[in-house]
Amino acid sequence: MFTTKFTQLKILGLLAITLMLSACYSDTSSSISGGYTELDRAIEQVVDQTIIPSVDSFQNASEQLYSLATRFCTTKNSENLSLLQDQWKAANEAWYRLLPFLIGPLEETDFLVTPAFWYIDSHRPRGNNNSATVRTDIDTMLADNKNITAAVFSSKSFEEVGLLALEITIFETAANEDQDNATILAEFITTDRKCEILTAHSAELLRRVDLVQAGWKNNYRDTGKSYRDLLVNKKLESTFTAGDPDSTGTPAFSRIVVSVQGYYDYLGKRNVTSNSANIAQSIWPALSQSAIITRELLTGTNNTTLSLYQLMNNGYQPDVAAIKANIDTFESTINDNNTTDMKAAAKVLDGNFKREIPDALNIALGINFSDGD
Amino acid sequence: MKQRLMNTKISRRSLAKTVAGLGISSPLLGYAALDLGWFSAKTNNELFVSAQGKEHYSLGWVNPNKEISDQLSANFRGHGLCQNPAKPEQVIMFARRPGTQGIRMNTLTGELDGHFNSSQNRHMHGHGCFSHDGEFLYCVESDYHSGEGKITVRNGQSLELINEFSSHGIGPHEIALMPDHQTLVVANGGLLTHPDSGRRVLNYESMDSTLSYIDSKSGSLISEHRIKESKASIRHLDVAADGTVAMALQVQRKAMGTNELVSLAAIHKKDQPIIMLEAPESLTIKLNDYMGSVKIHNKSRTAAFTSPKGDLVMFWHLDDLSLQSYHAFHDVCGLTISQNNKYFVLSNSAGKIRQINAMNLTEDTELRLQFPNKQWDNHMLSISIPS
Repeated sequence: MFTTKFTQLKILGLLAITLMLSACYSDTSSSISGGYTELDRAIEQVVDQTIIPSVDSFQNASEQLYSLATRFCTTKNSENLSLLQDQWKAANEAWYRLLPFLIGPLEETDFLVTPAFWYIDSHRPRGNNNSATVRTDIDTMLADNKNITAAVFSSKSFEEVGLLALEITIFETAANEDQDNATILAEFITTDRKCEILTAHSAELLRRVDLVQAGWKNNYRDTGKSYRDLLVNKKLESTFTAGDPDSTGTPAFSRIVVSVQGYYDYLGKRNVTSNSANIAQSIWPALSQSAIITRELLTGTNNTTLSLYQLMNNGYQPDVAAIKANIDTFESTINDNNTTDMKAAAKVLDGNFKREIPDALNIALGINFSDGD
Repeated sequence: MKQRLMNTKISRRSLAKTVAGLGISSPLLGYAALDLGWFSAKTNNELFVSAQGKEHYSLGWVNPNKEISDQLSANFRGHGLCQNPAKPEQVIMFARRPGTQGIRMNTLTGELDGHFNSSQNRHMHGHGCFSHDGEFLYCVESDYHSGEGKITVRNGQSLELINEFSSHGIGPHEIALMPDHQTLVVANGGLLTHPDSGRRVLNYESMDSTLSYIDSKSGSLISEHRIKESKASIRHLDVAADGTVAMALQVQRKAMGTNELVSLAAIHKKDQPIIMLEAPESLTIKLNDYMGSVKIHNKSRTAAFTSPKGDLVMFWHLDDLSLQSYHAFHDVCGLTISQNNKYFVLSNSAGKIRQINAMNLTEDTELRLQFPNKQWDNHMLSISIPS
């Protein structure tokens, strides 16, 4: 009896040792040097080749939008209005390329301060359609004679500014929400103040996007260091004081994956196709950009030497194949302009980013603290 | 200091005792209590105890000096814990919903010294509390035929079921004894589930969450209180020395028809309506409708609330109701008060522990602990083991 028990004990001991040793590591990616793993290398490439170019692309689109708003207000004609409208659509598409990555300068500031992305896309935080708020604000500004200044716009609430405010300004009349371009142009011509509002809104958007870009590339939260460097070099926790949102110790991979997962959760739950880019009738091309960037996140670009898919392929080929198919499905629902199926496909991808992708990379995102616990 | 995390020896003595005590065929667990030599080497009587593990569940414990890190394996996911006030070496861990088991660890030996199961057609909700004299153990359970919430009363020592009464609601979750030592306060979460459907909520439309005060002797309802938002589930609570109850809520967003933000922290004082504790929108939205634990520090009159889905701990003053501060910490949920009554102790699923000075709400970073082989679950308990 003792022998049997002792054997059991030895087996249990070996099992315990194995379990504990395996639990010592948050991931099993091959260590390269100084704790810098293959996953870290892949994430660095994601940041440099996918996320930052998306930031740059949105900044460039916002800059173009401001430029075309200024040009239109200098020369108010139908051609310039069309160019302006097309540029708003381009900026919105660039935004949907960046929207899955709500980290760093777009999100993690002092939580007592409204996050930067709220001022760009007021629908994203809670799925609320703030069109009525924007229209009321525009009507108020048109009716009074106060100076329209940068300071006024920088202090507006997030519901009153951003892409939605520009969409409403550019794609409909303030008088009666008429979406006919000739009528819109006529209102701009007869109401100089509306052009002041347009340029102020586009300048305010550009100001905020410039700050986001500067945070990613040059100076994040007055550290003198870029968010890019702090993130990929694992310096966030040591740079910010204890308890700060940036000092949570959350690894770069987790920050990115949780953000993308949150985006697909948002698409699955909220009514994006009826609330966003609705007046411009351009939500579907924008959503296409999200599909493209999600694929790129996992596949990499032409310059990628180590992609997340490559890391996942080590024993998780079926999951990789399933995720690729799920992205294709998501994209095809977008091409079909099918809201119901798009939301369903988004929920599937939400699950992939919650489970299959972290599991395949052997990354623990945390315990499942689910409702009812 | 070299961490003593990797105890690799199995104590034959403790395991043999455990096996003998339970019977090797016990369906409860195959215990693997590890090297217990630390008991003679301990330099600090404080232990942090918590359910832990993501795939392999156990009751885990460590001490603030990082000299101790050990665990008792369990074949169920634990949730809440409580300490027997009459025999402080005894700690109970309750199964997470819809589990049916509870275990008792003797912290002097690090061994299992008792276990209990729900009766037939009953399951647990992860929490319980002792009477002030340790004579009775009150557990929150549900009758999964009727859906009715139950408070089962067990002998505090033998753990035998001796009585039960209604929780006066559905889905009772955390329970505590009021300072009068007579009244129980129960968070009836209002969520109806059935083990056949796992953790799926079956009554979103009709859910009714209440804070119920119940006479611990007779089981009669003394009073019950609701919050305005019917889809907010009162799940966790703590009681201040003056009887103020702090509540942590979870919003069932699927059941809500609006995107309206709901405060997830509230307090209740005797003869008053429940008061919601407010925070800026940018903070409340980060919580993702989920608060996981609440603890009150009596001296500072501060209530701390954790949200693992928001990576946040938030602190409100119990009297002026103001938000005092917040602390961001990845996947934080466990929350307790240190034995020196100086700190809020926080734990997360990455095995990390942080201590926040309860008076100035700043972290003492020198007290940071990390146990890479631990994944702390919802609740942590600080206990002082007898010398």
